[in-house]
Amino acid sequence: MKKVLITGFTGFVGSHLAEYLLAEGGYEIFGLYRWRSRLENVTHLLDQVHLVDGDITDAHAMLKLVQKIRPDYIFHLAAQSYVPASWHGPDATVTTNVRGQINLFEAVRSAELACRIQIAGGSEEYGLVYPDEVPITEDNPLRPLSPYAVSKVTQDLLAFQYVQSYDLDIVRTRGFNHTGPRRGEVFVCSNFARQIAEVEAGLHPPVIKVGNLDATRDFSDVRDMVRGYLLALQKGKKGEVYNLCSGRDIRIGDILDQLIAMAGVAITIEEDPDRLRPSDVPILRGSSAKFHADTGWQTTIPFSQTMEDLLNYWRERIQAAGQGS
Amino acid sequence: MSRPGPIVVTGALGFVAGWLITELLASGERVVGLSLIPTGQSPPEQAGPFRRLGDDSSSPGGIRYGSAVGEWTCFPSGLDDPAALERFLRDWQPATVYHLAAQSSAGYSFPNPQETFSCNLGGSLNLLEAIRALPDRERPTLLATGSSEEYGPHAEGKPLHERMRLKPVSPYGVSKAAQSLLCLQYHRSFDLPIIVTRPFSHTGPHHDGRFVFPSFAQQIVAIERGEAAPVIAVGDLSPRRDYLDVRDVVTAYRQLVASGEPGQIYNICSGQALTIQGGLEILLQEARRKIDIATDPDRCRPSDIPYLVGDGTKLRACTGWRPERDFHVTLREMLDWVRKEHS
Repeated sequence: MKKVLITGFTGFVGSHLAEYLLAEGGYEIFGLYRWRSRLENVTHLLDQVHLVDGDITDAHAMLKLVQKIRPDYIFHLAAQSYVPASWHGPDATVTTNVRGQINLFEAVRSAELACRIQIAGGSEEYGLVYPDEVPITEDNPLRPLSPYAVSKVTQDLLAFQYVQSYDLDIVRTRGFNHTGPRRGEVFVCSNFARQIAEVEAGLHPPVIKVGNLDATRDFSDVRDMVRGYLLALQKGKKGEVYNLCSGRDIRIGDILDQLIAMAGVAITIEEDPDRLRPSDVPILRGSSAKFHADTGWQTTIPFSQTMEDLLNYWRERIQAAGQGS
Repeated sequence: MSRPGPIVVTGALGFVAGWLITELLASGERVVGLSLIPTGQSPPEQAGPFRRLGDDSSSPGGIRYGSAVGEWTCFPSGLDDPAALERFLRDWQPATVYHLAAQSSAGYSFPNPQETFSCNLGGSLNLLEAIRALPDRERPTLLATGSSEEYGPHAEGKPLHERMRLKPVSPYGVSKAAQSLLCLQYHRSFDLPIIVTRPFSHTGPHHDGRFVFPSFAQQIVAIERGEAAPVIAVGDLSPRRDYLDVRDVVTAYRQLVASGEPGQIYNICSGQALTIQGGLEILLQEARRKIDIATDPDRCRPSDIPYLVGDGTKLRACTGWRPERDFHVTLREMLDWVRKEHS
C-alpha cells in the first residue's frame, strides 16, 4: 500500500484523482481539507479515505501532518485557482499558492521524508503566447498575465529550486485546461453547460451569457489529467516539468455550439462584458510529447464525451435540486 | 509629464539607496524615503553616507537624514500595509518610485524563504496595488530592481541576455523572478509605467558584511587590527561573476528612469567575468598583513551558480551606459571604508 497525501482533496481535480486512485487500488489516501471546505465533490468517498484537517498556509499544520502521515506520494493540488479572483484578491492568491507550497516543502524537509511530490502547475504560466509559438513546449517562455499565473510560475520555479538545493524529489506538471463532471460553474465549459441545463429545465430563458468566444484552448478530460498526475509520480523524472494536454485546441465558441447542439433547444447567445478579462490569452495549444516519451501518457477521452458527461452532471444536479424543494 | 512631487525611494536606509539618494540630491532632486526599522530599534544614527539629523518638523513621523550633498526625509515603514502605502503615495504624489526595498541576501534566503517572499513578492505586490489605485495621471514611474540570481545556472561562457530562461536556485532568486514577472504583468494588465532592472553583483563602500567581498574586507581589517588570527574564512571561490561598482548601478537606474521603456527588462552588467577568488586576491594584495585562506562549509550555499555574467547590449543601446569604475578600485575603496569604520 502506498500512502498518498492529496492537498486540495475536496476540489474538482482532487476528487477525481482520489476516485481514480481508489479504483486503481493499492493506495491509502489522506485528503487534506479545511473545516470550512465544501465536501460535495467527495461525500461519496469519505468512508474510503482519511480526512485530514489542515490549511497549507499554516506552517504548523503542515509540519505536523506531514510528520504524522509520512506519505510516499504527495499530490499538491491545493491552490487559489480561479483567475478572476486573483485580480481583486492578488494577495490571497499569492499567499495561498506561494506560502502554501513553501510550507509543504519545508515540512517534507523537516520530516526528512523521502517522498515524491507532484506540483500541479498550469498552462496559464505560459501566458502571452504568440501565434508562431504554438504548439507550446516546456521550453516556451513564461509570460504570465494575471496574479494567479505569476503565482503558478513562482510555484514552478520554487519546485525547481528545492530540487537543486535539497534534492527533494519533485515532478512539475503543467496541465492545460481540463474539465468534466463536478467542474465549478465559474469555469467556462461548466458555466455554459449549467446555463444550458437550466434552459432545458425551464429555469432560465433561452439566452446564454458569454465572454470572449474567439479564444482557443487545449482541453482535456479531468479523468485523463489525473491519470497523468499519477504517471508523473510513477514514471516522471525528478526535477522535470511536463506539459499535460491533448495537443488540440478548440475555439470557445465551438464548445458552446457543441453543447447547444446536445441541448436540442433553441438558445441565443449574448455577450456579457463582465465576463471579459483584463488580459485574455488568445490561443493556447500545447505539446505533451515530452510527457508521452517518459510515461506513455496521452489523452483518451474524446472532447464530445467530456461535454456530454458535463451536461448530464448539471442536468442531474438541477433535477436533484428540484426534487429537494 | 511634469510632476510636483518628490522622488520616493523604498529601502531608503539600505546600501544601494545611500548611493542613489546621494546622486539624486546632488542633482537637486527632493527625496522622500521609506525604510523598515525593526520593532524596538531606533532609526540608525548613520545610514550609508547619511547622518541622522533629527525629526522632520514639517512631516510628522519623518526623520531627517543629511550629508554634505543634502538632506532628505525618511519614513519608518515597510511595505506591509497596503492602505498606508496608498495614503503615502497620494500624500506625496511622487514622480518616480525607486523600489529598492528587499531581503537581498541569497545566502539568508535559504533558511528564511517565507520572510524573503513576504518582503520581495508581498511588498512589491502592495506597492503595485497602491500605484494601481491612483488615477492614471497620478501614477509614478516605478523602477523595480531584480537580480541576476533570477537566471540561475546556464552554460558557461555565454553572457546572459534578458530573454534567457529563469532557473533560479535560491529562494531569493525565485522571489526576484516572481517580483519581476509580477511587475511585467501589472504593466501589461494595467499599463502601469514600470521599468524592470536586472543588476548583476555590485558592491562598494557601506555594503554590509553578509555579502561576500564586504565580508572578506571585514575579516581582513580585523586581522590588520590584530583582533583575529591571520586566516580568512571563505566559501566557494570558484563562481565566475559579473561585478560592478554600486555607483555605476545607481547611474544606470537613473538613466533608465529617464529613457527606459516601460514593460521592459534591462540587465545592468559589465560583461566581464571575475571569480570570487579573483576578487579575494585583489583584496589580499591590498591587505597590510599576510593572510591564509580556509574554507568554511557554513559559507557554502545549498545550490549556487557557477557562471553569472551578463550581456548588457540592451541597456547600452537604450542609454549608452557603460560601467565607468574599475572594480579593482571599488574593492580598494570598500576596504578603506571598512578600515575607517573601525578606526
